[in-house]
Order: sequence, then structure tokens, then C-alpha cells
Amino acid sequence: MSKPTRATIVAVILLLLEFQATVHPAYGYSFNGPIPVVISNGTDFYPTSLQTSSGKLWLAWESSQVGQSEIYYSTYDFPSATWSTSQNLTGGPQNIANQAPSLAQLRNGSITLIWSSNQTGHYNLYYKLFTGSLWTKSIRLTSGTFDDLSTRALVSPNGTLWTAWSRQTTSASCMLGFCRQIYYKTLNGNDWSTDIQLTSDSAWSIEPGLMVAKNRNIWATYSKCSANPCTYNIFSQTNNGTTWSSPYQLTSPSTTTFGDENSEMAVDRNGTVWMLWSRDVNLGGGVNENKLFYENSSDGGSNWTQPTQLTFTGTQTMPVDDVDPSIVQAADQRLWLFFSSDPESSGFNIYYFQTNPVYPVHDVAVTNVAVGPNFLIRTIVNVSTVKVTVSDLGDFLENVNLTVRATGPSSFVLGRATGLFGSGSTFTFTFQVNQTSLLNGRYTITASISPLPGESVGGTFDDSLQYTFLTIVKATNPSRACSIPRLCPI
Amino acid sequence: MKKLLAFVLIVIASLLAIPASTLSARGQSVGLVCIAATGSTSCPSGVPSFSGSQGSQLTVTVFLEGSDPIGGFDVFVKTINSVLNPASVDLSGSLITSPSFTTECVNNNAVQGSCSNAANGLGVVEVSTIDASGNNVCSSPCTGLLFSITYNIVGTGTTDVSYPSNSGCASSVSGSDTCVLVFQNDGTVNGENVQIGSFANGPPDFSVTAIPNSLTLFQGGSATTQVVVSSTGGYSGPVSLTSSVAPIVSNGPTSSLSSSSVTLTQGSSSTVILTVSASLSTPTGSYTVTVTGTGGSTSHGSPVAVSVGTFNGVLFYGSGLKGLGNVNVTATGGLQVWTAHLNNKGDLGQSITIRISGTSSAGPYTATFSTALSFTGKATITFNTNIPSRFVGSKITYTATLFFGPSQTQSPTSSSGSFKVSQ
Repeated sequence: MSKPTRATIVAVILLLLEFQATVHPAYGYSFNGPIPVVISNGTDFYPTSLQTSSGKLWLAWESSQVGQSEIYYSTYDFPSATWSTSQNLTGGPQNIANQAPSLAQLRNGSITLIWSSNQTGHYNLYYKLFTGSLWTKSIRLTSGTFDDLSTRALVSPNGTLWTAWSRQTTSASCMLGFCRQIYYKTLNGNDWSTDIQLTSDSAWSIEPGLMVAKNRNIWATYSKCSANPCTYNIFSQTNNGTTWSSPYQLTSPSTTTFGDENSEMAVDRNGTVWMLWSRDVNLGGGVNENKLFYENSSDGGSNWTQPTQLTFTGTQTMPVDDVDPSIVQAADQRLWLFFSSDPESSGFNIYYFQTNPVYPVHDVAVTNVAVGPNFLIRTIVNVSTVKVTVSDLGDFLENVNLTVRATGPSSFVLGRATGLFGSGSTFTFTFQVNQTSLLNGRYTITASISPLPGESVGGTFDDSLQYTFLTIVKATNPSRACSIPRLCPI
Repeated sequence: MKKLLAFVLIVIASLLAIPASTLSARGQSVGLVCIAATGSTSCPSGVPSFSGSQGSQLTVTVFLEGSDPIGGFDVFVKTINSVLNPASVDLSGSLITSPSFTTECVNNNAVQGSCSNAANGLGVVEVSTIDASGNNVCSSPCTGLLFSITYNIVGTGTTDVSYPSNSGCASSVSGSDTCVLVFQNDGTVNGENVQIGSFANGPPDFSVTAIPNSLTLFQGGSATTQVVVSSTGGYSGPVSLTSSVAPIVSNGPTSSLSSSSVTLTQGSSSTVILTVSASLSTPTGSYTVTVTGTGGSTSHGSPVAVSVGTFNGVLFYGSGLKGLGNVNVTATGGLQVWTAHLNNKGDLGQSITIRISGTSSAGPYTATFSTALSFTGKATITFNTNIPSRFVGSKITYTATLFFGPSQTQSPTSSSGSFKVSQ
């Protein structure tokens, strides 16, 4: 293909500028629905959704039957706007209950399904992988004489699979004899971590939600009940890659109700963080029902809107429960909000809302910083290469200014670059560090791009990415260098 | 007679050479005898489709692939002779390079040898031969042409190019009397599979057939039937499908198809499911559901007779099944008190089962209650189910399904809701 002429490029830019001038912002958001997605025997709960890299939207759910419950899934094909025939993924022996599935896509493209099953007499977590054409057999993930329930899963940008769940144990020291805490574990490569306890106070913490934010922090939400009778409040904690923040209370429902459950979070293309949950609402006359609520944050989760009620149907004589929401930024640029509902009190089926397309948005992200070698040894290894990958995740042609800084014993600008990025394009910039004029020590390499005109605050949280650490050491024995660099003194 | 003599000679030779117990033994590998196009060097991956205009000729080959060594064969091929009428056979290029003791029967007429086997007849070709060397002509895996058949295309329609079966045939096809026999020079019968061919030369078309073509359902119920869409005359392409109900009446039955179109290849079939549903207010009586397939400018319909009968089961009415909004449990659990609003449209004493299926943050919850109804018409019953203590602090969302009668038919109505579990 021949290179475009300068005149062509100018014309394209002018066209794009014209486009920018005529489009209108997508926000506010509007919701279309509810739309039925799974009509079966009316016993469908706990939908969980995943937008895969292949373009298909996956949906899994729990279908409850007497004596047992199964996990089903279906995929949505955008071009044909059709759902595939639902498939039973458990189909095990009778009298086995399978609960609350969760989906995530590994970096190698495999889809993992994690759920809870009581086939050992207690609820333990199990998972299986879809490798492109076949599902693997079920693999037990947790074991013990407790009940692990309501799992959620995600894959972080570095490829780590996170799964969180609520663990119920019996103990006289816990409220009403039951302890309910949030646990999580991670899969790095082929290695699962141990079960790690996230919450540890005397309250009950149940039904976690997981989200990875644009700044790569992992968000965990959960419902907490501190006293009997329960009113559940939603709390959140964030993990910055090293430590968890303290719990932060996100909702304060009426204390005369059962409160807020089933929290789910997602970040949309514009960087807006959404939380969706099910709230117990008193209809009077001693009748309650669950309704979906949401709130969102345009600044990465520092400030939130007031809770907004999304579903309304239901009366004292015919209450309608809307429960188990799942929210996903789909490939059609819309947010899809799945939930389970019994609109005519005649059985629970899966429904969804769609937002208007989150389009157009300005969003350029630093998607990777790689440094190699990350140990420089005086007189032996002097030069390191820093590669910074930048991607235009938005819908505009963007002029990107990239700055790469090193901070440590001394701080300095390692390099700058500019580039014109089209929507969907990716480019890797390469810089070099020569240690000869630098002090020994550990340096953090930070690659940042300047906020784009029109970029939302939420969209800027992926404008910067750090690499830790580039280390410069002296050679203890120049003749042998430092044979084990990580043990070399700084 | 000549063929029989050949086989007898082989058997005698075998008796001289090897123990009698091995005479009926089959070879080590199972090959494939197939119908293939002329010039083929292997069997086709599936059933090959042939076509041709009336008045012309068609030549097909009978091919062997992956067999144990062979010293001879006796193979029959059958067609509907009003469409494909066999004209001649040809051993040119055959694995049997020096055919001897050859029998060639065409339409029960002996071209060589005699047509003594009862499998011969109109539309049937028989070719049997052994190699004059008395040796096997190839080693395993043995692949190549057995013989060719030329047909006169004398009509329009469809026919398989297949192998007849007859109790008088020795067979290489395990456990059958398919008239396909491939053997080694010592008389050992090779094990072979067979693959037929198909011929069609009518105008490209398709058919739409409902199986079964009559359904009986009750008010509030539904029933399904299969609709088979088949390619005829070499038709290939999409066929769109619709269904309609006649007569059109208020609250009449509704119909739906599992797919609104199928795509056919030559000789293929696709099946979709037709579901006919009646509501509780559907007038009883007879209806006709017509499934219409349209491909290009051609449409074909298939009628399904539907009879809707009176519902005589049990329904939820009003608020259906409701329990306490809050169930208090102790360390040993608690009781949910359910009230079921039931409408028995059947007989006194009708048995029912209510199955409650739900879930919660403490895991799924299920319970079952069965009884015989002591009323007809509308009434309420109450019953209790146990709530284990582990559900304390959770909200259970549930769906109750209702079954009735001796075969425990599922009622068209169900009920759902939620309740809290506290202490």
C-alpha cells in the first residue's frame, strides 16, 4: 500500500475535526430495557457477564431446580444480534447444587468459569476453562469444611486472575454462630495463591464484586451486616498492587430494610466507574421487594453520585424482585446490565438493560512500560532500554505527548515523544538509560501522557503507568561482576 | 458359475495352505468400499452427490481404500433403474490387473459368467473376479479402483448408488449380508466398511415435512414437533421458515419455530422445532398450523393438525404461593409457612406437588411439598418447609413450580418471590 500524501493526511484530519465539531457527547446515559434474555423454566439467578476479546458477549447463570442447581451459559453475537443456545456446564449428579458463576478471560484467550458447588457436602469453589473449542473438566479450587459462595472473578491488565468470594464458617464466637468473611486468591501463570482473607471484623461480609480500574487498582466491594437483624451496607476496598485500602462505606440504605446486596462494578469507555446493586425496598404493609440501584463516579471512585433507582415495577399485592445484577462494558460500546427478575411473580428469568453507546470518547492510555535489563551494574552493564506502549482506546485522532521520567536518588526526564494516534492504534516508544551519570539506587520509571482535550477525568487514570524498579548498583567484584544481580548491594 | 468356480478354487488353495479355522477370519484392518467419481484416487469424505440430465450417461467408480491385501472381490451395486439404468461395467484400471474367472451381471443379464445370485435384478450390477496370478495384487493398506459402472440416465428423480443385501451374499461388512465381498488369495475375507453415493437430477427444490404432523395439547400447555427441511434435485441455499395458525381466533394458539431459516447443501436436511402453545383462554377445538419454507421464488408448506383440549389440571391464582416475608430461625433452623392459592380445574383428590427452587447468598434453597387436593375450584392450602439455620442473614429468592395429576404434569402457572431469614 502506498503511503498517504500530506494532503490526504490533512484532509483526513480536517474531516475528523469536522466530525468532532458535529458529534454530541454521549452523556447523560439513558437505559433501554428490561429486555428478556433467557426464558426458561423461570428459575434463573446470578447472571454474570463477560465481554471477550473475540467480540462475543458471554453470559453465565445459575438455574435452580429442585434438589440441584446447574450453571448454564450462552454467548451473544453482535453482528447477528442473537444468543446461542444455552449450554449446561455442570450437569453433574443429582442433588448437587451449583451456585453463582463468574466469568473471566485469561490473557491467552481462555475463558474461565468459577463457581461454587456442594458436591463434597460443603460449598467449595470449582473452575473450568474454555480453550476455544472445549471445556476442561471441573477443577476444585478451594477445600474445607466451610462454605465458599458467591464468587466473582476478573483478570487484571498484568494477566493475574483474581477471584473473590464469601466464606461461611460456623463458630460460637461469630454473630449467631456464623462467620462470613470475604476471601480472595490469585492465579499468576500456573500458580494459585493461598486463600487470602480480605475482611476480618466481627461483621458479616458477603457477595463480593470485583473490578479493575483504569489506574489498574483492583476494587473489591461487598455487603456488610454488623448486627442482627441485618441491614447490609456496601463497602469497598482497593488494592494498588501491593496493599489493600481500608474499607470505605459506599451506601447507607434504610436501617428498617435488609439493605444493599449483590454489588457489581464496571468502568466504561469514558472512565466513569459504575456500581450497581440490589436494594431491599419497603412497599408498606410488611411487603418488601428488591430493586436495582446504581451510582457512578466520574473521578475514578473518589466521589460518587447519589444512588439512583433503576427499576420500579412491583406493588404490595405483587412485589417484583430485581436481584443479582451484573454490569459489563460491551463491544457495541453500550453498558449491558444483566439481572434476575420475576416481573409477574411467576418465576425468575434473566433480563438486561442497555445504555446508549458510550461514544465518542477521548482516551489514550499508557498500556505497558517494559525495562530491560532492570539492573545496571557499573562498568559491566551500563545501558537499559525502556519501552513504552501507548494505545488510543477512544474514538478520535489524538496528538499524544509522552514524557518518561525516572525518580529515585535523582530524578530526571528520561525522554519525551509525540505522536499522532488514530482510534484503535498502538505504538511502542523506545528510550535508553545510561547509568554512567546516575547515582546508585532504585528508580521508578513513570510514563505519562498529557491529558487530551476533551478527555474525561475518569479517562485520565490510564494516562500514566509506572515501572518499579530500575536498579543501578556498583559491581562488588568487577572481574566477576555481580553474578546474582538481585543480591548486589545498592 | 465361473465366479463360483473362482471362489471355490481359492478356498481349495487356502485349505491346502492354512488351517481351516482361519478361513472365515477377517483381516487386520478394515478398509472402505465406496462409490466415487471417475478419476478419484481416494474415497470421498462423505456421500458423493451425482447429477446429470436425462438422456445422458453417468460413470461412477467402485473404489477400495485402506484394505488388507486383496486377491479378488465380488461386489454388487444397486440403483433405481427408472432413473439410473446400468449399461456396462469396466475393469480397466482395476487393482485386479489380470482379471480371471470374471462375472459381470447387468440388470440380471450376464455379460460374463452367470447371474446366479439372488441379489441380482433390475438396477443391479455384479462384478466378481480374481487375479489370474493367484496372488494378492496389493499389500496393506490396499487402495485403488475395483471397477467402473456406466449408467444411462433414463429418468428424473433421486436414487442411491448403494449395495444390495441378500442372505445369499458372503460379505466383508461385519455382521451383515451386504453384497460386498473382498478377499485375499488364500480365501481370507477382508473386513470392509461401505459408503454409498447419491444421484439426483430433478429440478433443484426442497421439501418441508412435519414429523409428527398432528399435535394434541391442553389449554395452558404447549407441544412440539420436528420440521424437516430437505434438499431435493440438488437444491442448495437458504430456506426461510414461517409458521401460521388457522383459523385466527381471539386468544388462539400461537406457534413459533426454533429457527427462522436453514441453509441447505445438495442432498442435506435440516430440522427445526415447531412449538405450538395454547393459553388458558384459548378456545378448545381444532386448528391447523402451517409451516412454510421459502427458498428463492419457491415456497412449500407443511400443515400440522392441532387439537386443543380443556385444561383439567391445577393452577396458581391470585398471589400464587407466598410465604412469610421474614422467617425466624434458631440454631436448629426454622419453618417457612406457605400459603398456596390453587385453582383445581380437575377432579377432587387430584394430587399436586409444589417444588420450590431458590437461591441466596448462603447458597441455593430447594423444598418440595405434595398433597391430594380436597377441593375443586379455587381454594388455599398452607404448608411448611424447613429453613436451615445456615440461611440466617440472607434473602432467599425462589420460584415455585406446580405439578398435577398421576403423571405430574407441569402446570402452566408458577409463582415466585423472596423472603428474609433472621434470628
